[in-house]
Amino acid sequence: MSFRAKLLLMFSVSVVIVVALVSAMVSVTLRRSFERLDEERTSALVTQFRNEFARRGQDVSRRVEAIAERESTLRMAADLARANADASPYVNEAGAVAAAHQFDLLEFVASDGTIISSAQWPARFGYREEFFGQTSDWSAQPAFLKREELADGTALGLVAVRPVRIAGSMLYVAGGERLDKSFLASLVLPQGLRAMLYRGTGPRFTPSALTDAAGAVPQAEKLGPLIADVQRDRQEVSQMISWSNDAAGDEMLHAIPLTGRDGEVLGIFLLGSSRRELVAVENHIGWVALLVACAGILLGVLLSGWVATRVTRPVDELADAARQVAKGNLDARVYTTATDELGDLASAFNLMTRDLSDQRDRLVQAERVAAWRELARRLAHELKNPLFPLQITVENLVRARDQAPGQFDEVFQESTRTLLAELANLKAIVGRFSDFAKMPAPQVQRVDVNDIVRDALKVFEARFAGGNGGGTIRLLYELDPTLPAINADPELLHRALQNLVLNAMDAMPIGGTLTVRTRHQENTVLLEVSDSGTGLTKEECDRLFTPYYTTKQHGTGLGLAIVQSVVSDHQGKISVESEPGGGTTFRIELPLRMPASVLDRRTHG
Amino acid sequence: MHDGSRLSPRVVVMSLSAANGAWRVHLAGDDVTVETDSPSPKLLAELARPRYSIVGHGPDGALVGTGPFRVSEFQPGKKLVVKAFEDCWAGRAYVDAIEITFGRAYREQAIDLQLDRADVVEIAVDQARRAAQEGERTVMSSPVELLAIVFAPKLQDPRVREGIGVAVDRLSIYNVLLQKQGEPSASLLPQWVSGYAFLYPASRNEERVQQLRAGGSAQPLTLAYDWSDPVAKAVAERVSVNARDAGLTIQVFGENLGARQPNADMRLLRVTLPSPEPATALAAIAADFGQKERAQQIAATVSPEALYAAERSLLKDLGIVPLAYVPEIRALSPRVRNWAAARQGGWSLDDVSLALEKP
Repeated sequence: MSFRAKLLLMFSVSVVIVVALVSAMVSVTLRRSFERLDEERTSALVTQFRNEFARRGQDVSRRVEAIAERESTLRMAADLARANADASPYVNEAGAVAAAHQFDLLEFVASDGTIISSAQWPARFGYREEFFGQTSDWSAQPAFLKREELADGTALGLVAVRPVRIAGSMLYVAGGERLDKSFLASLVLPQGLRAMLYRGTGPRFTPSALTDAAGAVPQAEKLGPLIADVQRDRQEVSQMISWSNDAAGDEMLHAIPLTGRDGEVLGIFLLGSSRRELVAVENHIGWVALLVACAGILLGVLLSGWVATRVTRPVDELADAARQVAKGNLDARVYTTATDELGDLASAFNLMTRDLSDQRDRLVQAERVAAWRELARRLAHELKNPLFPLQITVENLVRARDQAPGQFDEVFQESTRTLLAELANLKAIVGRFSDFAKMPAPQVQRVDVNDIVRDALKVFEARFAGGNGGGTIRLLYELDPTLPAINADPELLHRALQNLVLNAMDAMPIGGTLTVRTRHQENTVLLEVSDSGTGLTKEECDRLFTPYYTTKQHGTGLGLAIVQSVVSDHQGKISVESEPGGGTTFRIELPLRMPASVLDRRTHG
Repeated sequence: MHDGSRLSPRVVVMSLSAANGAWRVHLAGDDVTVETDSPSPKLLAELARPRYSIVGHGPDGALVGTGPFRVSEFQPGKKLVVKAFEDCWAGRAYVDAIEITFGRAYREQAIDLQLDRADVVEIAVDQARRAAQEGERTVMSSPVELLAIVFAPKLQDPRVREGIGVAVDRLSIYNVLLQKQGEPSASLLPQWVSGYAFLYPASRNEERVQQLRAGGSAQPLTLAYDWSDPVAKAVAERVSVNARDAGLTIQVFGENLGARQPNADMRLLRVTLPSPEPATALAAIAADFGQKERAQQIAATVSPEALYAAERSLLKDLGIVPLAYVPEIRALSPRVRNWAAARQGGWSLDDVSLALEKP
């Protein structure tokens, strides 16, 4: 993966993470805020309900007092206070008065608790209610919740009782409003809230006793546990109710127990806050957040790409320049206008390549000078040896012609042979230098390395058998018969191998063993020449392939340089392993196939 | 007769034969003979019932009578207009015509009277005292309408019948709902007719009510009443309240008499006293409830003891719980003159006249 791709990926991941974190935080914060607002709204409405309930209680008390103070009520009380009073004319009085005062519940009750007239259940006249005699002074009693028995069941009412005293007799006026769906409908609730009323009293939940402003509540049985909790604990309980699998249909219900005068739970008021609006807002915010996040991520990725491109462009240029430098082009430069670290890096790179180029030039120049000096030294050394005998011989000739003319011919003959021998020596020296200077380009063809090895060593077999001056050299072949053919110049390989063999023979002046191995290794052919000679030190190994470097008394230092040159021309490698006294092994690795470009250059160059 | 023809014995024979198919009516000269399968000591009382009115039929099939008024216009359930018959054998009536409107609620009738749109109106029994206290001119018959609960034939549970019979508080119904008009009654015939109605206890049997209540609740029942009758509604609701004390749940609902609900378990009905003669009245009631053979037996009853036994048996078999007898009460405009209130109810318009101006 490229640096730019990594940078882009890193930036993109960072953007995604940041956007996701921000979106999550915003979402959570908003949700909590909405939930808090919802709780506050519900709490406010619960308070509003309590206030409304108290206000209605006061209103009921006031209206019942008004009825109790009516002239007709006083007349009725006075009439009923008489002995053997007939209450039958007043049997419909409560209905008429209740209609006039908009009461759902109204009863006129005699002092003994006998119902004289009942608006909510007219047929119940004559029955007694002990309830009225349980309180001595109803005048100071506020309105309270009361369960009323009706013809069609029971009802929950907000009732106030006021007595009318006439001549020592008592007439109770009990009036109030039913707590039913009309009462619920009269509550002003914001959208999303609804009020419900449960009027059951038994230990078992009765779904039909639950109503809201519209009537019966569907799936009322789901509220059973909540109702049971309130009835058991007699305190407010809040609970989330799931009406369906849709979370938007969930409703937070706040249940308030409605208690009677004795603290018994007569009903339960439920305030439901639908989460549909909240969920809709949350979903809306979620979608907006998602869109913003996507847009942010897209923008972030684009910006990341742009930034990555800007950041990596100098790096790419640096990489290209570095690759050119690696290929040897020290003139490669990075052009950038950046003033940041990358600009500094580019400047440093340019400075480095410039220094390298200068150093290379100086090194080449120094090496060139050193080579010339070495060449001059070697030439002087090589030429000085034969020149000195030549000078002595010529001086002997001059001296013999002046001092011993009779022996001049003999001396001349001997001096001539010496001169010719030294001249031949000089010619040989010049020839070797000439050969090194004239290293030809390889003429590549398919060759069998094993064949080259045998041909090259064949000319030495007689010398090995006859002894190398002081001892016999035993030749061992360890040639791989499966060795594949390679592209190489057989003449050059032949020459390089001969130089290695000559070098080995020089290393074994008292004889030894010369082992030649070939081996196939992956895409290369290995050629090893090992001797059991005196071996080399590490310093000698390091300088062994330097031209004109030699460890021998009469060596030119060109043999191994020529070998290295041939191997290098074949895109191969040469290495040496040696220890003093432990022999030396030269290892040549030749590729099976040389690159076409090299082939062309070697073939036509 | 109204068509100018003479009232002939033949018309009488045809009319009586049509009124009672069980009778064999013969014409012998100007004499008309009625033969019955059983002795009929109360035949004259029977013949006095409205159903035996002597009527003929005109060429168009319309009824033709002999009274002072003849039918001018009749819209069933809505209106009847009769006009004075100029050639009436008993003399012409004082008023020229009478228009009777049916189906008017008591409240509407009261308004009609106040606005002089009617001269005679019906008054609900619970409004009689108020009307009298307010100085209205009212006339009242003896108790001639029986308010009774009639069980549907499908309701055979004796516990229900007994529960309602002992739980219902007739005295409260009489005192409060009927405003002490008429009389509480547990019998089919009123006291003023039979003379033994007091033998049927009209008071509530509290002890038995408690026993029934302790026996547990029964299935809810339905009680239907005439939705246009406010007294019936109040009485039905009171019966429901009383029955609850005996562990019975009764749901009351109003129904149109013309379209009765077939699924009602009980029905609160008004049964008009057919005749002031006890045996004839009881026989007619039995016949109206489909007990024709028993009706003939009752009609032949002479002694009060036998009549009491017959009525007791009839009460048990018919599934009727009598509640009260109420009178017919009417309010008259001040300009109405010579209104004769018959004790057994009904109208007698022969001598009625109207003052030209309000007094």
